[in-house]
Amino acid sequence: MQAMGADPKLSHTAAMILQAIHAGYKYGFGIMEMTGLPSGTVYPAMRRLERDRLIRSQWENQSIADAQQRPARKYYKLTAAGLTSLEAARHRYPLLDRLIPTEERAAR
Amino acid sequence: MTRLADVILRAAHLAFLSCASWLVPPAQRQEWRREWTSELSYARQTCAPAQTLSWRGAHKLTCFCLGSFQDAVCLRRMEPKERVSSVFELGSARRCILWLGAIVVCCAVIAHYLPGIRSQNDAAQKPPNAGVILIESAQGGQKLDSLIPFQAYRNWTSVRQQFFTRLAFYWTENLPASGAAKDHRKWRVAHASNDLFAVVGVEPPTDAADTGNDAGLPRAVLSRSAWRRQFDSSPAVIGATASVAGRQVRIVGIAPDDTWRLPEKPDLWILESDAKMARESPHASGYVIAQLSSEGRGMMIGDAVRISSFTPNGGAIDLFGATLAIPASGTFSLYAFAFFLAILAMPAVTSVFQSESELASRRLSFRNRVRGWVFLGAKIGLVTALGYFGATDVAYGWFAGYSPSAELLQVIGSFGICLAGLRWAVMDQCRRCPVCLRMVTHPAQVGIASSNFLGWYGTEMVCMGGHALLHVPNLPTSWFSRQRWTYLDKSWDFLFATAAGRF
Repeated sequence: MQAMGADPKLSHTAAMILQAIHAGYKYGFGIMEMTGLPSGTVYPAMRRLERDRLIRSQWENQSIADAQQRPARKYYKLTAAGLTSLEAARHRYPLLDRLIPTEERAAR
Repeated sequence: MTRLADVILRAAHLAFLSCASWLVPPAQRQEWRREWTSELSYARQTCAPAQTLSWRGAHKLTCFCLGSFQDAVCLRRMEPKERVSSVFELGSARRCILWLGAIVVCCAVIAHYLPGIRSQNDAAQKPPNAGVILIESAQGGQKLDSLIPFQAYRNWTSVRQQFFTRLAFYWTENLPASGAAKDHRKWRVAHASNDLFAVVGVEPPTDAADTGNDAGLPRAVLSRSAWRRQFDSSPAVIGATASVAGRQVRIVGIAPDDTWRLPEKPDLWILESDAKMARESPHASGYVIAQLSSEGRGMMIGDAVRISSFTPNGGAIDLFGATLAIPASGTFSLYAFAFFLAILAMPAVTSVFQSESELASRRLSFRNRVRGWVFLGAKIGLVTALGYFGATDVAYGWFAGYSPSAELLQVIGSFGICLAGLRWAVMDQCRRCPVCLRMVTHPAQVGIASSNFLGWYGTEMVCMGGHALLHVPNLPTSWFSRQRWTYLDKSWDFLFATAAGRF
């Protein structure tokens, strides 16, 4: 399947999710909290982003979770294509950075 | 929030997630359930850091859980169109079984409503009394005539007979009949002794109560076929009156089909006393039915007996008796015999071991092997059921009641269907992919006829699931005599839209 890295027409929701992941919110519930989007929107959107190879998901090591006596968690990361798309989306949605500031931008 | 409410809420949230996961396509179900459950745990920690969940937090968690339904619906929509159910796939195993099953069910339903099958099975369950014979006059050991004068019968009944315990008489004539009957053609009417049915050993007719003006009318018994034909099998006919040649009779019952084994096959039996018969038809000639004594049975040779009847003046008359007990086998025992013959004939028409496979390194999984055998077993089971129901439908659809010809037709039909069906079941299995049990398709001719028999020449077919290729030699040779399977590895997947479930 063709990656959407070069596609500038990312929806606002998808752009917010990408921005949230880029800002360090790696888990589904955290992204929901940050973006204010409901779970019925966030997870399918992340599924699409993952299908389009803009993000990738991975389960954390079970032994680490077991050692800390908590359930293992699935975390999401931006791919290179996702980062490119996010950069394009920032031009399209200039307020995105202000809504979810990333660490490096917040530090400027 | 109380502890109890918290526990209930926690259970409800898990139940929501579990229900939502069932909406997710099966391949992703476990993954999503795991992720939701995990996230719920972390969401709970976020909403209730001090282990006490507020109503606001509970609302947030509930929204999270209910959102999973929306996720699931969305995931289902995003899933590529599911494969067509294998029932609708051309050549699939399920489709094959469904068709066979439908045909068997149709045949079974038809068989259920065919009266001939029922009467044949009833006759087999209740074999006629072997000691009941039809008496025919004889001279010098040769039988002469089945018709016996009524006076002779009266003479025999007036003295104690050595070889008979009971005797009954009936004679027939064609008479116009009316009543509730649809057809006003003349009926075959038998005038019979009161105890004819008891002598024959069939179920005595139902005796309707004598009521009102009908009391004292002669009793009559309808044949089962006349009851069906003339009265549409209406139960109201019992107790009704009918007019036979202007004479009123009261119908008291329906004769079982077995009674038709008596000569002439009357439509109506009017039961009369011997005295009345002597008064009204003293010169009639008819049939004498006798129940043999133990001494008479001892003289039976096969299904016949040569005995003597004694007259009041001490004379003895030579008689020939033929048993009325026609050995009815029952449809199932006939079928079992035909099936046994078909099994014996199977090796002559097909070889069970028709294929070989090149599976040195890759064996079929145990599950696939079991599936193959179960499918073959199901086909054989349905084909054998079809052999029974199909043949009985043909035989007893053609012949309305018991008949030796019907039995013969059933045996031939069962044998033919079973033999052809078993052969088909085995041959069909040879043309099905061992992995997915679909029929192989797209035959392609490969090679040309070799003059020195060293070149391979045959037909190749492929499983549309992308599992295997079937090579069938057109010209069997010593090095390639039977069909062979070649299993396809993953590198072939791109050719097949539905390549899945590989080993």
